[in-house]
Amino acid sequence: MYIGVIDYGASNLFGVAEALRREGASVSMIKGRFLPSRFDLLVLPGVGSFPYAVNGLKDAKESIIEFRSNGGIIFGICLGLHLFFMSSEEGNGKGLAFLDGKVRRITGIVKVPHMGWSNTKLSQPTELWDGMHEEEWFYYAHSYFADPPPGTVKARVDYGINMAAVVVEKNVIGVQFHPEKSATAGKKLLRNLLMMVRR
Amino acid sequence: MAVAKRIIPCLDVDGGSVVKGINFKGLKGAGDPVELASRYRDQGADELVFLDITATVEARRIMFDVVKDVAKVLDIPFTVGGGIRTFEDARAILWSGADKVSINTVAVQDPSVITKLSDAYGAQCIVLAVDAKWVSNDKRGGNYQVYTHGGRVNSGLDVINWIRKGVELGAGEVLLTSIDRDGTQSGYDIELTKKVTGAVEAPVIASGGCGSPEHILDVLKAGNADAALAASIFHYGKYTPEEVKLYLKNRGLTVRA
Repeated sequence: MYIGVIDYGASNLFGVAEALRREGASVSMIKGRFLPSRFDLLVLPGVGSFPYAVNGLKDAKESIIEFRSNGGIIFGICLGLHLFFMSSEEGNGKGLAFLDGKVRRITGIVKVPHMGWSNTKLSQPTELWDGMHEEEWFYYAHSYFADPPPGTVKARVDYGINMAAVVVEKNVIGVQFHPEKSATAGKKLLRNLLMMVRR
Repeated sequence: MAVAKRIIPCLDVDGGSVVKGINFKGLKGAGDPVELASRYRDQGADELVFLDITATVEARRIMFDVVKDVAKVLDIPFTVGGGIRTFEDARAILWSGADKVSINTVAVQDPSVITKLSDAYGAQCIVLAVDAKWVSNDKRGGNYQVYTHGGRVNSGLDVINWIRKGVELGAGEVLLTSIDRDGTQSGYDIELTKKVTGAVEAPVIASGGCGSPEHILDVLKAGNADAALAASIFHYGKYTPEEVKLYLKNRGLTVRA
């Protein structure tokens, strides 16, 4: 399996790439335009800030959109999930607009960033969760959260607000947590993702 | 709230080797950061901190390779701190695969570094490390002050004011070490921790003084810390992170199973 990890200039693509390699995939970093047919799966990693990422994504944007139109699966992690939306409260810039809804800042009585392990609950069946418990611990590190149409939300996490943790809209899949840093639960989820790509 | 209290073992690295915590049984390479990191991960650590205590600048380059090696195998988050003198140092650590970088002296000397790092890589990977020491003053009682350069230099800054400023500038987390308690195994400084957790909305990792699971319970409950960092109690095989977490769970705290 050939996986392209989009390098939009954020640090730590390393963790994601290594986690996928541990599952036996060939992983390369993509900067700028690329040939969509080269890859079985695209990954948008999740470290940085929305305006920076949007800017770093500029050159690859057209190819990503083409990849998605061809039916390829795109997997977004944390900020990568946020990039599936048109805009974010984190700052200016236009995202990929694959999903309806908003990216909003976490507010209320909770601490920001939401940092650490949270119990994450399946809310609608998805192959991504195959072989896992209804509730699993995942690692989060974010100050903003995605608020997509309820029908696309497959798992949720309660952090003051009941936030979307897993979003699936056809071939666009996003997670708010970091599977590559979520020990055994993360490994299972990534394995399921690769199974979905193979099917 | 559905976020677990975190237990974080801290590993001191000198010239590429872990210099404490080599008492595990059955390890092939004593002091190998990768092997120790994996061991702690298997024992239920929620996160790890690597503190680079290497004295010379040349030898410090080795740390980048250590970070790369650890990032290849470790599937829990890890922070790297110590010896970060510039924005470029911090960036290099992050690019090598660390999830977070902790900065202390450089942040005090040039607070704009916090904002630069935070803007580029996000607040969640910038940990403001603060070494705090109580300084008494005959007339006014005293206050906690910020020390830099590995605890050797008093910056004169008030701990609470500095942490408020650091978080405002973009730090996503605070690693708060009590110099008074560090190495004593007599318990965390609860008063200090309480003051800091009450002053900022960012998560606070308490450090310095841990000698038992009771101390950890105390700082997480009474001190309201989000995470507890400890070295000795784990390194010398007294407890595993898993055992500590079970202890906390039995006393009503939320921990990752």
